[in-house]
Formats: sequence, C-alpha cells, structure tokens
Amino acid sequence: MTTPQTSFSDGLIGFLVGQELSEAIIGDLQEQARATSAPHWALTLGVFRSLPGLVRIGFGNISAQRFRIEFGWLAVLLSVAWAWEWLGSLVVARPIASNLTAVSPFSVVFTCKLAYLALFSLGLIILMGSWRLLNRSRQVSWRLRTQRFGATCLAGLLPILYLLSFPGPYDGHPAFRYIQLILVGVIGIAVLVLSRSNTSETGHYARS
Amino acid sequence: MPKGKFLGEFELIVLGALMRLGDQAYGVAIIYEIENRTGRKVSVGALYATLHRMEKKQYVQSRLGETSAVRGGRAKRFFIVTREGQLQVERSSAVLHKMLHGLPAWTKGATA
Repeated sequence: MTTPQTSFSDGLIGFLVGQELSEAIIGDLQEQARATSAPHWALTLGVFRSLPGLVRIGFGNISAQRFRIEFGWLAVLLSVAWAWEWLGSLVVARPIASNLTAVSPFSVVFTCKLAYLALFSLGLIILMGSWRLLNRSRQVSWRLRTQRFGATCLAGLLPILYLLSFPGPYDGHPAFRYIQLILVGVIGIAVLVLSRSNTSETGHYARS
Repeated sequence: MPKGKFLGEFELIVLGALMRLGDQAYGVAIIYEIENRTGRKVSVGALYATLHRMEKKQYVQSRLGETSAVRGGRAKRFFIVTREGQLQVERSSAVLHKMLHGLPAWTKGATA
C-alpha cells in the first residue's frame, strides 16, 4: 500500500520520532488499517489520532527547561525575520532604491530589485548565521536542526507570502519574490549540509 | 521509593498486556489485547509514547521482528517486560492492594 498518502505518513512520522521507531509505527498503522473496510481513511485517521503521542516521543528527550529555551529561540528568529522583512522592504529598500535611480545606470525597476535583493540577502545571512550559531553545540541532534530549519524557513516565508499579496510600486513582477524563496532554500540547505559533518545522526539528544 | 518510580495507570495496563502476550507482543497485538480486556480505545501513538518512555526506564526491551505484506513490508517491533519492569508491576499492584483492600466498594467490585 505505497501511495502518496503513505509516503506523507512515512515522512511525517519519521520526522517526529526518527527512522528506527517509525518503521514499526507505520507498519502497525497499516496493519490496523488493512483490517477495516476503508483502509485509506483508516490509515489517515490512525495517523491523525496518533499525532499527540508521536509528538510526545519526538520531544520526549528534551527537558522542560530545554523545551522552553527552544521555543524562546524560535520566537526570536520569527520576530527577527518579520522585522527584517518589514524594515527591508517597506522602510529601507524602496526609499534607497528610489534615490539610487538618480545615479544608477540601470533602469528604475532593476535598481529597486537589486537594492531589495541585497537587503533581503543580508537579512537572510544574518538569520541563517544566527541559526547556525544556535546549532553549534554537539548536543543538538540532526532532527532538531531540521525542525529548526523548517521553523526558520517558515519565519522567512510567511512575510514574503504576505508581501506577495500586496506588491508595491517598485517590486515589478511578483516572480521576483520567488527568487527570494529559492534563496531561502539554497542558503538554508547549504548551512544544513555544512553543519551535518559534525553532527550525530541518531535523532536524539545526547544525555547530559 | 522515589515518586517517579511508580507506574501510571496506562503503564500498568501496557505492562499487563505485554506479560499476557509473552514473546508475541507487538503494537497491534498489544492494542487489541488492551481493547478486548478493558474496552479502552488506544491509539498507536499513545501506545508507543508509553513503550518508548518505559524502554528508557528499562522496564521493557524491544527487538525488531519479521516484515509482512499486510504491514506494507515493515518490520514488527516486539516488546518484552524486563525483570525491573516485573518488579514495578508487583510494587504497584501491592500499593493498590494496600490502599483499596478492605474498602466496601473495592470488595463489592472485586467479587462482582
């Protein structure tokens, strides 16, 4: 019963509990689902019902204090991303770009895009740099880094999607912002791959 | 005994199911055993969260079993109760017995 649905379940459960345990859990969910008259619905329902328990396993190795610190950091990253996007796009990039056009050899739209892209890239580098600093400790697992990366990308994506809905006068074609989405991904994946070499891949925290 | 050593109600139920199933205790079998005996609906996630916690406490051990087509080619994970786990069950049931033995409601429920 390998379908897009089971692939999604595999990915989700593997992400939450690690590959070792997800094998048995998905097998049990499939066995339970096969015993019903509507296996696909039963599998979806089974995954949905199991989510609270799976999340508990995923966070089971984190102390309450560590849990609070993690969420604190994520809140900071989210705030930085939103603030930078707002500051970069609305307050800094557009006025700078409109002044630059007086001395720039390029067209107005191109200069605006260039200024905006430069500021946005700088913001991304700061964001991803802080994310990498956060992950320097050898106690941080590969899975947690991935979760943090997801949260960081989400933090960067939300304001972009918001701005996509309200394009400004200097933004030109909305496709320009898709370049930013690709930038988020490329920089993030590069940082992720670079920090993988010194990381434990057990999917769990080292016990201290 | 430290507070953290006592078993929770669901932990006790799961350990009881593992003892009954012996070397055939894996996810679905444990769920059916609990549902048949207690009437309590158990999700796979809740069961594994409890088993995972008890494995860390060394009350249970697990091993990977065979794969089967009905499970989409996935291996079963079999669980057994360790000696420490058995001791915890004995202690918890002794505590329950001490607290409840002699109460009219308990005697009535036990004989019903």
